[in-house]
Amino acid sequence: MQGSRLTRWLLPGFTALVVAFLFAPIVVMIVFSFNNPRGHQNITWQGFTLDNYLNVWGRPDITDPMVTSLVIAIVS
Amino acid sequence: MRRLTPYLLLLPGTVWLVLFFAVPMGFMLVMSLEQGSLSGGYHLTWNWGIYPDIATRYGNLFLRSVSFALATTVLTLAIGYPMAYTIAFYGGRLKNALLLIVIMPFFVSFVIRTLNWSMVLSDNGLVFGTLKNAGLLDQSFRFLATPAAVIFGLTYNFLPFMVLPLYVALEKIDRRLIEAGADLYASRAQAFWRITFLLSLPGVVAGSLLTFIPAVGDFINADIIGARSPEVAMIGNVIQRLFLNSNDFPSAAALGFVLVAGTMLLVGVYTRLVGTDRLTS
Repeated sequence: MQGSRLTRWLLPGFTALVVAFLFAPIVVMIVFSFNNPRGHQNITWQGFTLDNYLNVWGRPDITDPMVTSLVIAIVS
Repeated sequence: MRRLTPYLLLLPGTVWLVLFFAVPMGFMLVMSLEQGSLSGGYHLTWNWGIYPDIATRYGNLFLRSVSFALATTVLTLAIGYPMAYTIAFYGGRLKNALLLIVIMPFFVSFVIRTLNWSMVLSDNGLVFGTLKNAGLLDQSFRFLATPAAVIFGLTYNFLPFMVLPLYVALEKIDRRLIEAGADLYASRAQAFWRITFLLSLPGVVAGSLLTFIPAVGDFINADIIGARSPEVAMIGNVIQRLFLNSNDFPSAAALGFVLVAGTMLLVGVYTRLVGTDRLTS
């Protein structure tokens, strides 16, 4: 009886927790990309915005390295 | 020709190892025995004294790196084993999906993931800021720049390297052996320790090597989650600083050489002690 409870709940539950642990920083990154921080530090939630996405193509500091990355990835 | 085949098959790998491992190690050894400055150039003076010198200056850093890496290995094993076991034995149809999920974090660069952890775990960040505002934590509490934080980051980053070899070893185990154990009146715990765990030892060895070796030379986690605090600096940070900032190439080369040689020695002893060849033969 003890064994079946272990395999049915404890192990899958633990595995789910570990998966959450593995993805936590990525999820936070995606969520906080919509954040609208005052100042330079993007560590607390301060409001929803799409600004970070709307302007991507107008920023050479982002597009130029992106082109470099793509060229390197395709060539290699 | 027949007898030569194995050696010919080994040739590409051997050439690769000699060119990209043995030769650079030789360069590093020679470099460590040189003296001079960046402007005046370095000259080979066979300065063997540098080795006792770095041992007294950085001995404690070697100890710290090894203990951080050991803690990381134990933690990833403790977290990774139940996970690999669950996927291998109870994954069912989801097995491949779960394996994909384990390696999916690699789609995002580990530097970026580590940076994200340092934001999430910063003093007033998502986790500790919330706890502090709720009055559950003292305002002066600090997690970043502590040894625990660096070990946390290392454990996070190397967990998949532990889970995958463990999964491969566990997946290969013949389930009938465990049934046979049960038929012979082994309790579940006995069957686990004396059959499953024993047969998964090759995975444990491979996983702990894949975790320990990169962890002992890691410098990204101490840099980012350790917030460059000197109290958590690892040997990799010192090598990076000596090489790039102080331009003290001989000391950096000596440290690098000792790190690689020491790691090889530790790994040799470890594989001798829990060697897998005895299990398979």
